[in-house]
Amino acid sequence: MIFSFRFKGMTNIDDNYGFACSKDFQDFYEEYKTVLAKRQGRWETNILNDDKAKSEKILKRFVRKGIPPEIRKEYWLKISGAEDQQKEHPNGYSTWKQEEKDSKLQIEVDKDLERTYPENKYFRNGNQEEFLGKLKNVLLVLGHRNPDIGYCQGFNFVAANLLLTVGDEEKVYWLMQCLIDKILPKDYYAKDMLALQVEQQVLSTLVLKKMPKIGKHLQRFDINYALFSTKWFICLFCDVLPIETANRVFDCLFNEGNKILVRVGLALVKLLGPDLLKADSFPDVISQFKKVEDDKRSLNCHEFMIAVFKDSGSLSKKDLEKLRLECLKTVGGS
Amino acid sequence: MAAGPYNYSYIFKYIIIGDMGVGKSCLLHQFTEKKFMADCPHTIGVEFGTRIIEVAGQKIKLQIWDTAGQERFRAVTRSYYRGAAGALMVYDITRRTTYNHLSSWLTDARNLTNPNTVIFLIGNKSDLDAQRDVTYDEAKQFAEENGLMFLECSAKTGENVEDAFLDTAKKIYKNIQDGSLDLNAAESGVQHKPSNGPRGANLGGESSGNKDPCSC
Repeated sequence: MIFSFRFKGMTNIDDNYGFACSKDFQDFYEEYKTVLAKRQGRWETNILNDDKAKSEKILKRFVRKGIPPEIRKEYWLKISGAEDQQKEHPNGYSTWKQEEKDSKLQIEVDKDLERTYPENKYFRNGNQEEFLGKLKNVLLVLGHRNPDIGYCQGFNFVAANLLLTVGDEEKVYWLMQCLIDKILPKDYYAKDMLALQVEQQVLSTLVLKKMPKIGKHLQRFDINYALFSTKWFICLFCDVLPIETANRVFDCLFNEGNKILVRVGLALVKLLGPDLLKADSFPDVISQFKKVEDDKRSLNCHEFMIAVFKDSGSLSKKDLEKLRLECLKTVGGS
Repeated sequence: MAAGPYNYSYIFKYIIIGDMGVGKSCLLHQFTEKKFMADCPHTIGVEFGTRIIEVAGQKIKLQIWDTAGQERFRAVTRSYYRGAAGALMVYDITRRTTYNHLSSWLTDARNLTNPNTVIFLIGNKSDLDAQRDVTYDEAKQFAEENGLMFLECSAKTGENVEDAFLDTAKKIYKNIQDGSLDLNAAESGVQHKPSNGPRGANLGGESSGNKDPCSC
């Protein structure tokens, strides 16, 4: 058997992003609409219509509870610093788009375009050309401007997710450029994948420390964290979590920085914990991890994000940086 | 951990390698599910599939690792080569570049697996004969020169897919029978499941010295 759950239990109704949604999501969304309306009101009163500059602390609390969808794209650009980067190069994107691209880059991007969210209506059925065209431009400019990285498989999902939320391809490019330059750990997408392996080592260390029972169970079956978390970290949880939940992760990523990635990793391990502990063979453990992509508990983005911060507990920037350095020694030396 | 009874007597570990978009995941899907997945997502990192087959009256469980094709992911996928009993090396008959890269895939496969690993060359997309960019004869010759088994397959129609996976298993089984593959050797890629727990290499992951071998 192969483990694929992408198309299971879907209805003909789509979420606001063009994905067919499950009955579970519809049920949740009915509830979540009320939450969203309330959050929108709170944002308007406390953040948007209040001239006083808000402290980082207040903003952080608000962002963790979700940026209202109506203002999400402007806020992402603002809080990430992408907008400032864009202002430094007002004609940059349109110029770079015209420039000739490396042929290997073009081949790699082309190969993955048609494999990007084939189940999403915007990437299919007549809208195809518009969305795939924008996606292609973003990926080409990104690879062109970052020759050390080029195109990394998985960028297509990140860019597509941002495109479905933000719409404008130039803005999506700047958000991704900003992630690479400022938000993600240094050399996160480098071709040697060292930073990725460091992140996986960090996750494994923290699982053992914070959830020793699960950590030891995974050790017992000799589970290499690269097996299940490569896609998590490379795709920044796009195509792993449902899009609304992935966007809630982006809210925090753009506002607070990369610490959120390992936090979400920990929350997912914790969420799967009971099933992982029941799994009594290596393939069984791996198949439990695959189920995360269809786990309805992650559909409830609100509760999921509460769990993200609760499960990972306190995790200071300083401690995380220290841990990364230690892990770099292990990974780099192996 | 369960000590049995098992409904199979051996576990063989396979890996599937080759360039981006040659159809590695589709071949795996065709083999495990017996159907073609048109919207097959690309693999980021590694994926996994299993199927139980029968060779010479013995039930064998194939544990198949499907790897990302993009070169940079080799940093992550390399550790899965270790302890593979079979390696399916795939190119796309309609794209010559994927064929030209075979020597580099072969070098990796040779360096990172054991000398007894059976390497099977697959020319995928044989249904697209009109767009063929690599002839059968030259690939056949490449396979012979390098001591590889070879077939052209189609993950879409299913042609020869079963044979590629089964012939690899038959060859591994033959190597066990004639003693050229030592089950007790580390990283043989084969686990025997006779009566009291597994013998042979741990197929789980990288480290040895694991007190609890997996009861896959």
